[in-house]
Amino acid sequence: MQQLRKPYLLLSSFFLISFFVSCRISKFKNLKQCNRVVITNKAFEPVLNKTKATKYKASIDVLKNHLTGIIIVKQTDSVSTHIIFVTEIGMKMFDFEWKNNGMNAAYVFEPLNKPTLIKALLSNFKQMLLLDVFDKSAGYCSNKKVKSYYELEGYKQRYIIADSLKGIFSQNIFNKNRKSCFISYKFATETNTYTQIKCTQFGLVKIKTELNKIDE
Amino acid sequence: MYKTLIFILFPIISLSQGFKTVKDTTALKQKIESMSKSTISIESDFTQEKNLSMLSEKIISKGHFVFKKENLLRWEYNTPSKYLILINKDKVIIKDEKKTTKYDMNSNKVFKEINDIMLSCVQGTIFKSNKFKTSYFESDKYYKLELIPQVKNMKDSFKKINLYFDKTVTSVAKVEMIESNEDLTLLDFTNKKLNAAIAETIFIVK
Repeated sequence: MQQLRKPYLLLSSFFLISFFVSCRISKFKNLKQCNRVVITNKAFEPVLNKTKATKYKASIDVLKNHLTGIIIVKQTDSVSTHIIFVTEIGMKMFDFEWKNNGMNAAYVFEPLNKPTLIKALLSNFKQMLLLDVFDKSAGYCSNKKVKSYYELEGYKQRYIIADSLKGIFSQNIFNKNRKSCFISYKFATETNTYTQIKCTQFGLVKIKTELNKIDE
Repeated sequence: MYKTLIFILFPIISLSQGFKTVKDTTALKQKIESMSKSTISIESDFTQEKNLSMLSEKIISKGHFVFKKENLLRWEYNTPSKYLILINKDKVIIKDEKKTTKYDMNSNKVFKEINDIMLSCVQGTIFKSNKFKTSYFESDKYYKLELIPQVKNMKDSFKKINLYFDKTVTSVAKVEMIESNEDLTLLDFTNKKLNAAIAETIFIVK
């Protein structure tokens, strides 16, 4: 009996994992209905406040490093938005600029300046803050598992589960059917703001980012 | 040309802010030296104001710090985040809202650098470092030491550090750190207690 237990456990774990993974991928397959729409702020509330800066307590876990501090997100003119990460002691870690539909690093603290890492962080922040989502075409879909979600055009597999009143719940980004990034949101309906954003980047460069809004 | 212009304008700018060059710098250095020697401990609240020039935004943090000779520092932020830096001789412990991390100062160049700046700023002895060129100014209220970095690493991080002492030269009143991109970090110390008895247990995180 004891001898049988190990292979049985292994086999059941394999089926469980396979079922779990395939479930995640299939969650957005088998469409019941899908209409082509253009995403506007009527679909769901944007993260970016166009009139004033938003500050978040931030923690970023990457490559065995645990970084914490404050992130400021501010639209500086009609085409530019800056995302600046400053540690508690006031050291600037990075300044990312979203300009003309592109995300670039305007400044990176030298010890952090690794091309693969910066590329992943630029992509994460662009997605977390929904900078590349509005005015874009998407399929507004539903199936048996998800009542309604957006499948963004121009991306291979990027899905946003959202509600016009309750904001975004999550973003699920896949690469070759494997989940590459998962972003969850907490939305406060009384203030129409996102109070928490959590992002997990899978793959070679694993990054966990958590932003908690600072009320001022 | 640009550098020459700054050189010419520098005293004028300082004067316009109510500061003039100190005539007897030897006497001031001796006062700071004597202050540093007689200071066994410092306890103070602080307000840190980070001004981001690009965004015209400020990040204001508040906290409390305790320093005890030699090399014991508890630097604690209470708002907007809970964040603690403990320097206990050659050990650095950083505790945030989620995690506690321990570092050995001797194996981490960046921490060694930060430690040196923090401790020498708190004690006011930073002007003795050969990493800076120091100029001395005074107003009715303060002595101001302007420290211009001379070594590459420091130059990359800071354009200038200003250290303010009250006119009685009992302790550092405030510190201004100006980065190359004109971002400014201001540390203002209030409710200071000098040479009070401090238990060494507060410099230990279990």
